[in-house]
Amino acid sequence: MTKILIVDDAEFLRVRISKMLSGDGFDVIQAENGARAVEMYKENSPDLVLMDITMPEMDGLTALKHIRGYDASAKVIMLTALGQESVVLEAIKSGARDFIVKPFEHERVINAIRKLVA
Amino acid sequence: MELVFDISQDEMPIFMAETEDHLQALDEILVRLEQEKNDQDLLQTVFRAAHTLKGMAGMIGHKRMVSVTHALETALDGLRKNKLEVDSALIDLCLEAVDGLRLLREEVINNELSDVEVDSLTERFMIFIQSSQADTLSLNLAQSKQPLPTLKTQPENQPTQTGNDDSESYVIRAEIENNSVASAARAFQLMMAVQMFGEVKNMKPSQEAIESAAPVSHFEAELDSGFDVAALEKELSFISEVKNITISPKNGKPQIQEPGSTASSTNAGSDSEYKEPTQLGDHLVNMGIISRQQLSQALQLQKTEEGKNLLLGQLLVQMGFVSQNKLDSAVVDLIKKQRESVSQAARKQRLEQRSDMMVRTSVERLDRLMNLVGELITDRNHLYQVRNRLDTNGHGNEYINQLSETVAHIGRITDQLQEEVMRIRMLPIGNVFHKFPRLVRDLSQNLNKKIDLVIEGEDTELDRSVIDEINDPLIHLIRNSVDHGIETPQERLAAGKPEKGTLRLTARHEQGRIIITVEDDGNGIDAKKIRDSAVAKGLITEAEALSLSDEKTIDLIFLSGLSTSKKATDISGRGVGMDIVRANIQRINGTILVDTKLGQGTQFQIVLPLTLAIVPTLLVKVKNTSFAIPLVMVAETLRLEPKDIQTIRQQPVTRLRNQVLPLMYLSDVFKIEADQRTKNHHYVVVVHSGKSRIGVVVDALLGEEEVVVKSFGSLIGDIPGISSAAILGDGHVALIVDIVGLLKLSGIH
Ligand SMILES: [Mg+2]
Repeated sequence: MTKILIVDDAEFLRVRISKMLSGDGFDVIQAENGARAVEMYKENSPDLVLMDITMPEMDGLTALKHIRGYDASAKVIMLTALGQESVVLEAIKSGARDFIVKPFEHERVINAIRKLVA
Repeated sequence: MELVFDISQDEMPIFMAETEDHLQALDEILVRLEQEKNDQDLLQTVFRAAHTLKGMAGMIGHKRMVSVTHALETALDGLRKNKLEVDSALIDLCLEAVDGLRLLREEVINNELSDVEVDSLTERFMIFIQSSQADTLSLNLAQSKQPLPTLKTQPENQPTQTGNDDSESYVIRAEIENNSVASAARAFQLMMAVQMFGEVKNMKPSQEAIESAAPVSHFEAELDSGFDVAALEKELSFISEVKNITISPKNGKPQIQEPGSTASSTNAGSDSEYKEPTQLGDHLVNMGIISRQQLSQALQLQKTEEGKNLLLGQLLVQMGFVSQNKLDSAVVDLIKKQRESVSQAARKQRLEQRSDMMVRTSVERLDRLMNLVGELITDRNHLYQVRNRLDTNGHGNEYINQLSETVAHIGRITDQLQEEVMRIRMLPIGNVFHKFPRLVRDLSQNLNKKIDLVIEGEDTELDRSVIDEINDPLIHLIRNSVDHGIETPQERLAAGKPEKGTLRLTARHEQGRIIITVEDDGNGIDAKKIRDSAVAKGLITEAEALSLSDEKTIDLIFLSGLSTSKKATDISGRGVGMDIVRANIQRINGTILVDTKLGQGTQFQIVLPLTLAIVPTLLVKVKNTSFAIPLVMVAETLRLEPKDIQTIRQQPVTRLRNQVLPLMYLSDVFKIEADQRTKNHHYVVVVHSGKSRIGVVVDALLGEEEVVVKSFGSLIGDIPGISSAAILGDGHVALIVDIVGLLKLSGIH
């Protein structure tokens, strides 16, 4: 089963996305900040990461860099909001494979994921 | 109008709890920011709160909530990036937005439109931001949609044949959807994908332009032939928000193109935020080694052709702003700092791991658990008694010894269990305190007063049942202090006091009790005014008034119907309420004391038990009836001979350390036939209520016992002087004495 790590500081967002994904047969794990995400990535080696950008402790961009440093083939999709253009660009340059803008619909997330995990 | 949001029933509690947390954080931090203007941590946290709220509102499709949070976020982002400055007007507006957001949040449960004027709010934010000369910000706010990219047709710099006619090249074209929020990032993805298949030529926009983060609508690049066209096509198709991908031989059929659309906007003109000063640069500036100006000069130079390939440090040395030596040691220093912050992050991480081990449980479940522990304590007390009886009667019996040991063990386990359950139920009083900065700020603004609120001991923990009960009394005391206690700046200056008043709110543990104080440095309470007012209202007679000390007079503020404020204000109403404050506190077996110095200030001290469910008491007996007196009220116990008791004006009294102590016979109060007066000695429990002390005369002292409170319910109804009942270890019922009610009943004051 495809394992997906959801990283967002808002519990509501994590729950919302988890529900979307587990309904589609994905195995979902969650982290509430970047630092925790890096740790969980190492412990669980998920197939894909959905990564929020603005978070306490460690932001998504920094976490992305750590994860890519640990695993150069890591597949990370950034979850972004309006007004974060330059961060998104930086994320893509740092190896993020895609980004999705909040608020997002079910289909958009699933499509982005399916593109990356065959 | 019925509102509909995209949220399910099971998501609702999470949404409500999380939004409330963020709103509370906004409230609290905005008020703090007014004092600690440049605290970068606060600015980050408050920005994040607004940002997260916006994300959440968006996910449930609450557009008006998104608008307000977006405006708020933009303003906070401006503060965070030093494009706006913290001032009261801005904080006012932000707080107003937070209030509006609370109502908008309510809409999610009520499905009813609230009267928040979203447009007016966002418009005022926009005006604020624009007038603060922060063009970039206002732009940001004005556009939620991407601005149309300026379609500038490039001069015909069609790829010129540069000697590689022989190897046919391919043109790769793609369009980026114009609602992409970060089209430059998509262009970058396209570029990276194409680069995987060969050397890219004639790319439009240029890599530099893409990296400036300026919007991109069309992407175009050339590759020499020989690559796997299908593979590239597939790779490109993986990139989201990209359409109309074509890969065609350069000299093949021209693509059908809309006029003027070949070139993308390359207006990297607006200086993007993207190229921020490096960490090293910031570090050097912060250390005072170079100036901010020198840094920007160097960064500027780095952008030019000659400086392009040089590192910032090299440039700075070349420009003569810093010596190589200094630079080296600064770099070492910076690395050390970064290490430290990494290890700090690791420490935090560990802490968080621990918080992962938490479980959530409902309050009801905790209450049930506490009730069960209560039952257990009652049984334990009973077991103790049975054991004691067996011990005296059957001492030496092997079985009795074993039973006795087991009972002692069960007793200790029960104690530990109670302690653990109590600990689970504990919450820091900060849960109540954190609302007060906002309250004080709003109240003082309304009254044109200047007040510093100082909070201490917000980590002090107490049972959640007590937390619930203490909120209202505290609000009332704080309102009173702001309204009647602390003077206007003019009055204070005239009285030789600092213009700004101080309101101090503290909490601490002391001997198994919680002590909360509310203290102001205002004008204090005037005993004479209280006396006059009490007489005028017929609460006491003139003669009584004359005999009352100032201290006892001040205690009259707790009587109902007494008001000292000359004018009614909308803040603390008509000065009523101190009686209700005291009643509320007494209901939870707490006490309240007032201490005031005219012209200097007033302090209220509230003493509370740790929990409501289990009360440590002193058990006493009158004839066959057991009474439990809450230990909080007990000062000491005495054993008196009949000769120690005198009567002054029909009031039995005794002398305690040269002070007259009025006595009250419990048998009299509750009309129990007792032979107390004829006995050759008496036991007296000295209790205090407010500043008064009184001796309660009983037949016997049975000892201290923690009793589990049972309310009478409707069975017996209210009994004056009794607050509730408890079942004792021996199965008997003890009545828990309400000392204040008792004092009233006895007529002693
Ligand atoms: Mg976030």
